[in-house]
Amino acid sequence: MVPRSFHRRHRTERLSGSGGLLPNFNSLDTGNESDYPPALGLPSGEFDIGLVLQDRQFDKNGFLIFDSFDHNGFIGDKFLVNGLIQPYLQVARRKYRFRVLNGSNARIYELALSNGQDFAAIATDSHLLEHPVWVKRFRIGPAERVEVIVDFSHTSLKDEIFLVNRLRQTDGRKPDELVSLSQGTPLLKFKVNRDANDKSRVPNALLPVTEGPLQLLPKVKVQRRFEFERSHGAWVINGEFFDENRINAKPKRGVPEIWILESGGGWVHPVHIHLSEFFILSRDGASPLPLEQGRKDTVLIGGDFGSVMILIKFAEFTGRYVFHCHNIEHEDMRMMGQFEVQP
Amino acid sequence: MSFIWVLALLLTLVTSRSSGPPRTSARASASERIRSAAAVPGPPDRVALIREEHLLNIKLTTHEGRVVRFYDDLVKGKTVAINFMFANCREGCSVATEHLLEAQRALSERMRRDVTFLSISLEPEQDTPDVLRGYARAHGTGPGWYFLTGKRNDIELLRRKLGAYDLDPVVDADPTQHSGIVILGNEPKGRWKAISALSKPVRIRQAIERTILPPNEWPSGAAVVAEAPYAENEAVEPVDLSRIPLLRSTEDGH
Repeated sequence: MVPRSFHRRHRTERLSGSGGLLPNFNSLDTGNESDYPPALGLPSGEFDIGLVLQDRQFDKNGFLIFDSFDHNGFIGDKFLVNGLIQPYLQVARRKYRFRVLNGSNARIYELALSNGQDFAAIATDSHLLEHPVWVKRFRIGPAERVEVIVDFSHTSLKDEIFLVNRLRQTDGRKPDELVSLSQGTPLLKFKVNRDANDKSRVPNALLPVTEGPLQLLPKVKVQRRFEFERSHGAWVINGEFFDENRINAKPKRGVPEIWILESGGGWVHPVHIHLSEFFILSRDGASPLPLEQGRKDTVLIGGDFGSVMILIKFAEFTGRYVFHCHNIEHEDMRMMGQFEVQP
Repeated sequence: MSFIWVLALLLTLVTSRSSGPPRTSARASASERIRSAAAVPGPPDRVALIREEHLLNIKLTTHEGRVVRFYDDLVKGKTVAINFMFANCREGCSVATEHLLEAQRALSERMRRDVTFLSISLEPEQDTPDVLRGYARAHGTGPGWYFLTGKRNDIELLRRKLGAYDLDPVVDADPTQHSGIVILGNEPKGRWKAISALSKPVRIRQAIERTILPPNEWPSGAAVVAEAPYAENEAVEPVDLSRIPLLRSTEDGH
């Protein structure tokens, strides 16, 4: 349905850019915009495009640079989309589906369109939302995915519209500040160059949540707390470095749990949990933003993002899986834990 | 019904392992041979870059009183395990030293000869060679391990270049929170990494082995699987539904 990003979990692989998107389709999200309902009819084919955002550094000969001695989180000064620095895309005057993956090591983006038009967000991480969420801008941390529909039908031929990053960040700890649209960094230029048929739709009902927080919360029996912290130059979860033989949690298959994810010291961590998606119940005690109310598998915590309470159920598989900070350098420095799903 | 497409990223070259100019094999095509002949800039020489950027050649004194240069005498051509400590440290230093010692003793004899341990003092004025010799004796460290002192400014600069610092200046200046990482380097191969010295000694030993050995000789995961798991450490607390906005609004609103 929605892309899972695939990658080798090692920073040199990440740096070389060997990652990508692997979309799945099903009876709702068929991959053909002409299909009749119950197919959703989302923009498909050449109008369904993955955008992998990365920041990188290059030497004067154009070769990638990586500092093996920096464990704060790699920040690049060049902005790449699908492996090219600030490229352009020729678009038709119609709707497009963009599957955005933040494939950066540590950089967080806040994306907006230079002409001020809205995105219709339809999916977060691995799942479609229940309903489209219309936003002028959205934030996306490392490993997070957001899918949006952008409608170019109201633009004029020869228009140039930019996908802009409004978040400034200079180190791996956290973003510095939100800048205005005009001060932001253009990541990708859309050049409107033609007209094209558009049978695609953005239906108001996407993927229903049949088993959400209201259904699952009464069944919760276990609550766990995980503190993601910096400790003596490296990173720990609940005071401990990742160790292959430590199990931090033993959830029972099919029984929902509440996990509280916290961060100290002003560091931001994109926390990624393997095996199962989850719902964000609260962020710093408040309701999550509409874009964060769908199914997620990665969530930003720490700094301005505060702490989150999530609801997670491991429905299918038993065995050992990991959860970790997806800032690649933090993860490499052992900010990772394991849970073992019990039958 | 389902199909798969791959969004290929165009960057393919250069991982951290590449060093030196690209090799031309005997079977290289004519166009490749022409291209390499025409002085196309090659990937950077990682070993040289790291030497210039990070491996400062500062003057240090060992706990045996020998004056040495950091790069020339201690790092060049070697595999090293470097940490920062001070003799009077009441926090993690002793634990770090004990873990490193246990890791060193667990290495095979050949690998123990291959790796040099360098413990550099963060309080160089207090940590004279005599003090460090006492520290080494107290912990029972042996050959292949140097405790080092020198000029504070030199050591501070080296510490930053090796990544043993904190971005938060308050944390960075606090000796009780100093970095406890051990920086592992295979200098001739340009392979550098780090792990917390407070990690289990077995993990430090495995990290050292992976620093010395080429990737195809790295120990397999079987050894880890065979280890007994640690005692459970589950972070369970009482369920508290009172702070969930969704439930609050349902109750308040209806």
